[in-house]
Amino acid sequence: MSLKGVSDYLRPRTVEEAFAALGASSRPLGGGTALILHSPPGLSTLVDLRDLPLDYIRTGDGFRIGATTTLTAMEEHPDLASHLAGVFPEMLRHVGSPLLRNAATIGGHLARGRLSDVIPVLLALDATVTVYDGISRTITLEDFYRAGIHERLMLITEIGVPPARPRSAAAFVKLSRTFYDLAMLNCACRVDLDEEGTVAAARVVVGETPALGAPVAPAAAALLGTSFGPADDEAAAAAAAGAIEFGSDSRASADYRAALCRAAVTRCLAVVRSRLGGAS
Amino acid sequence: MRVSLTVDGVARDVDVDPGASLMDTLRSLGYASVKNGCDNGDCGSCAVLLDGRAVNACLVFTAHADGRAVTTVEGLIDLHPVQRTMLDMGGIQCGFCTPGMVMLAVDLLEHSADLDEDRVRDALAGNYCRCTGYVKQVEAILAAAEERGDE
Amino acid sequence: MSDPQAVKFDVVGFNERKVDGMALVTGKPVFAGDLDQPGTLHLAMLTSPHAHARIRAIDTSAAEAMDGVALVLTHRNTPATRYTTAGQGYPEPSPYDARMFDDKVRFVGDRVAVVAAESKAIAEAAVEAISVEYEVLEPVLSIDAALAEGAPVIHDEPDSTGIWDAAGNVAAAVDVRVGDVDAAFDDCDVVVETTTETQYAQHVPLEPHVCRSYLDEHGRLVLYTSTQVPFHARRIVARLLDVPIHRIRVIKPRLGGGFGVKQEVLLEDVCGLVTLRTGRPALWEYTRREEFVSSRTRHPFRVRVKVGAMSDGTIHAVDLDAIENTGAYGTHSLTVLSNAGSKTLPLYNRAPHVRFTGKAVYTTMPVGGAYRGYGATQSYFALETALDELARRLDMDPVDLRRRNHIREGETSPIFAELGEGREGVAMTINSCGLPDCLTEGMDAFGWEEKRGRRPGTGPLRRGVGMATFMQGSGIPLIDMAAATIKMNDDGSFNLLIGATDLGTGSDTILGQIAAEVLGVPLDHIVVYSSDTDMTPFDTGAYASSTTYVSGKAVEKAAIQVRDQIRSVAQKMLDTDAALLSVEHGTVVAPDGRSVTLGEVCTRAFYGADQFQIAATASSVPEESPPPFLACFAEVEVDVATGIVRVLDFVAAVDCGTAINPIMAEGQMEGAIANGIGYALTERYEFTATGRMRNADLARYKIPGPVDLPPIRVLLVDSYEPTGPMGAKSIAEIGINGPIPAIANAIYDAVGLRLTETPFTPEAVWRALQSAGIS
Repeated sequence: MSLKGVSDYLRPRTVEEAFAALGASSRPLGGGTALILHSPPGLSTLVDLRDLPLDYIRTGDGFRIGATTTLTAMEEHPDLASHLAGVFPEMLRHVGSPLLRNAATIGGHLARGRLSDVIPVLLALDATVTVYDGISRTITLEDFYRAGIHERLMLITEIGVPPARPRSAAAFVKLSRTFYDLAMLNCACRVDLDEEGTVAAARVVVGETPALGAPVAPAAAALLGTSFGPADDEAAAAAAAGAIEFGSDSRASADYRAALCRAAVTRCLAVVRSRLGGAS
Repeated sequence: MRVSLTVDGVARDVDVDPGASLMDTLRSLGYASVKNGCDNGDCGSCAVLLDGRAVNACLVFTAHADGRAVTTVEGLIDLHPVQRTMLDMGGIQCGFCTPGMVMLAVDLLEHSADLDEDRVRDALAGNYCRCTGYVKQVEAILAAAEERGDE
Repeated sequence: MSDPQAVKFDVVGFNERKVDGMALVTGKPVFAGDLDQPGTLHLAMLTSPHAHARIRAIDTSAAEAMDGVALVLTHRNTPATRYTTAGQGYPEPSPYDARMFDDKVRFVGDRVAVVAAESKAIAEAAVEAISVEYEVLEPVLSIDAALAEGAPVIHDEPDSTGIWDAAGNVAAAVDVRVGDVDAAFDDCDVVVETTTETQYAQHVPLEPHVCRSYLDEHGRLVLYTSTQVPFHARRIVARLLDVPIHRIRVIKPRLGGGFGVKQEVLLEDVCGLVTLRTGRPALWEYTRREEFVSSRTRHPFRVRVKVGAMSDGTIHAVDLDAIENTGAYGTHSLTVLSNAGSKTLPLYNRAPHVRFTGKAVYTTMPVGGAYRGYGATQSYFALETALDELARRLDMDPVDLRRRNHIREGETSPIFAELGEGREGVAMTINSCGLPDCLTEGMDAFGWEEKRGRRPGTGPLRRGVGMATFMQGSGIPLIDMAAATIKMNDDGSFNLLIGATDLGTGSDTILGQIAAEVLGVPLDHIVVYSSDTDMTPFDTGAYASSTTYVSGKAVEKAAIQVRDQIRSVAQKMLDTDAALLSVEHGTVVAPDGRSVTLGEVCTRAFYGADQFQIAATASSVPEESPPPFLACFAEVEVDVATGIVRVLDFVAAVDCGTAINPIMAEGQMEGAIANGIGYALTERYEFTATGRMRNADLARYKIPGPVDLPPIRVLLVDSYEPTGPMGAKSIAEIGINGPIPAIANAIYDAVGLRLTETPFTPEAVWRALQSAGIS
């Protein structure tokens, strides 16, 4: 629905210009799909980022994705779509609908920093984010949320996805009431094996607990050094369920979320294992 | 503010509030096919093409479409194959969701190859229909894809 | 009874394109909200934040003073007439317990004031400027709270009528007894008892309620409105606004779905009043939130069923008790309650002992109204799951239990005569019952025998199958009336004018097909115009699955009369006795092969000799309500770790008599089943402790989308109803009854759990599994 009370609509041409226009009553928009529904009180200026040179997906040594790239563009990019056996389209098909994904941008989505299926996958892949707030710097996405940078005055300019390590796989699981729905709980995992086939690195990210997805260190720890069999899935799942403080909201109750967590982590790891070529 | 859109091939210069949604603007210009079903970006009844990709018009600021091409179902001058298959295969009951669904299908048929039932159902996720159960709309889209040469 | 095999159709039974299909698929402005009129005032509504309160004072002065505000309506400046919003025939079998604007509010969302202004934005801003002083009363937020000793009286006003027991918060009650059930249970070998609860749900038409009103060039009030009941709307608005019926015209344009929610006079009176007071056109479009909260809902029900049978599977006694939560007003309260018994119990007519009791209870909650299935949907949950349990205890295939007990052609049930729509019913004998074929063909298509024998296993994903059978009705016997006018044009085409109301269901098309069949022309030679109280003859409207059976009969009768007139003209042209002439394929043919075209016939009738307008109007009042029948088979997969239930396959084999347009009949079934699956699995109103709906939008009220639904499979079994037009009965409602019990029975098969409360959400199923120790 139309927003009332907006008096200015700006189209800056550079990141510096865009950042300078941000403030207490001014917000940036990529696709604008979240902002048009939920705007902060007193919003009077919209800063449309579409003219910034940030609509790109660059390959070669992982991926560098410009902040105004739409979610559909990510879904349709052949190399990104096939990265790590298709974990991006596996997740993206759950994000809103094609109508939403055709308009929503990755930068806008990450800046919102809540209600996300995308963020768990990016965290599982150790993604980075480049932000501009007068100076430009690149930090891990994990640090970005841990330090609350998404709530500060800044602009995301680029997302970095590291290249796939050898013998690495990732997967995403979403549990929701209907398909076109926010998750009751979601999970993204990544496992890297060394030459002997033991787990050299792991990420277990659980989201919508109802908090935003975050890596669960004890769950990853339960996998490190193991040969990554089904029993290790259970251990990681139990560790995750024990480590997270679940909450209740209209989508799910806390105790139910704990059960969903156990199921989601177990199943996500089973898919990861099958992508590594192992039994699931 | 002044916004210059091209709607169905026709240049439209409009004076809108900066916060105006594309849906409200299009409806005020007389594009009645763009329906408001939910006020909230959920139902897909307001779907139009923006530079050829289907979006919820209620979720896009009019100004964000400045200088871009909007296509509504009124802009399909000759019956698109999917309009014909929808008509022939029982894909239309009350018709309220139909324009949005047609535009989604036009985008899908233009940008996807090798459509199967699951992919079409995924694509329709954001277009609610309460009358049909989606069965015949999925069949109609697959039939239009087959005409195009899918298998 | 006619031999169905002898019937050969040219138009009926074919998948003709909908007559409005082209307009809809090309996005023509054919809905009530689509066309603008200069000078239109836009309406916005102020609703109550309290579930139960008196309005002590209301100050609209600030709102009225706002620039662009034309009028503010409240209880102080509108008629105090009591009425029912129910779009039913007169006298309506619902209490007159509502006022256009009341000085008491009875649910969160109840109407307090309406502003008419130059724009919707101004109207909404003016709504914010109205200040109301409420005396907050104790809310009544459940059936039990309403029936409790000392409960607040929700309808304590002296001028309401037709309430069963206002002081006890009971809007309506039923009590029908056949034989002696209590004694009979003692004679039974097996007795099963269950109590089920169904939730608040909403129709979610994609087009919310919308009404446009204006004065035509003669100063008559025109209501261009999204309604299922144009003639009832005219009558009710006339009374409320104290305007003669002949000074009001109601036109129904294309509707974006109804499903019963628009069988109500909800916006038209207020919109009309704004136009009368200001002289200007008015437009009122409900928001989606208002559609959820302030229009109408499915009635929640608590149904207790007790079924007793002999060891051979013969059902001997059925005791059904239904408590209906009718919400704040009693619109449709008695009739929905009655249908919980009248459209279920006759299905198992062999039982000589039957008792049906029930109450419709007021609460200070959203208002239940007409919703596809109309009470039967809620009680079939109890009945069909009880039968499933009965089959298990008797070690019988549930299909065999149905076969042993269901009503058959030539049979009757005492319930038909005992229980009508709010009054006595009409005795009836079944002329067509395709349920045996529904069971056989449904089982076959579904693979019931193979799937039934499967073990669900002990893994986290467990599959199960379930089935259930149903009947509904086709119109309301001796009460519904439909009429049709057909007039001929000089090119051999016809205008078909019908009061019948197409909600998107395609009734314009199938009624056109019936006329085309009789008159021997293709469908596009029938120009269909419907639902205009000035131009089309009377029809009660689209409800009770009446349109095909009742309106269709009127069309058939009118077409036969027109056909006779055609023969009478052609008789002179062909110099052959009319009785020997055949009207077919756009011509009139004599036995010797000489023919004239229909165009020639009408040209002569207009311009030649003995001129007259070939035309006829015919009416139809049904004497019975021949039920459609349905057998549903569902396969589910229950994820015991998460409680998520997926419907993998759903087969619906239905006997609707002749399917006038098969693809459209299938579409009706598919849509009804999809809706029923949402009602079974995910749709619910979430309320705060003070009775406010918390999830009044489509993001949080979950209706099924295409990925949630299996490819629903519909089989139209061969059947022919001799009293129906071309052998047709109805199909509109019955499908929505299927999913809840079929899925509940399938869940039992999968995990051994009898769920008794809908919806079967993932968390609810998980909790039930946990409680039962199933993992």
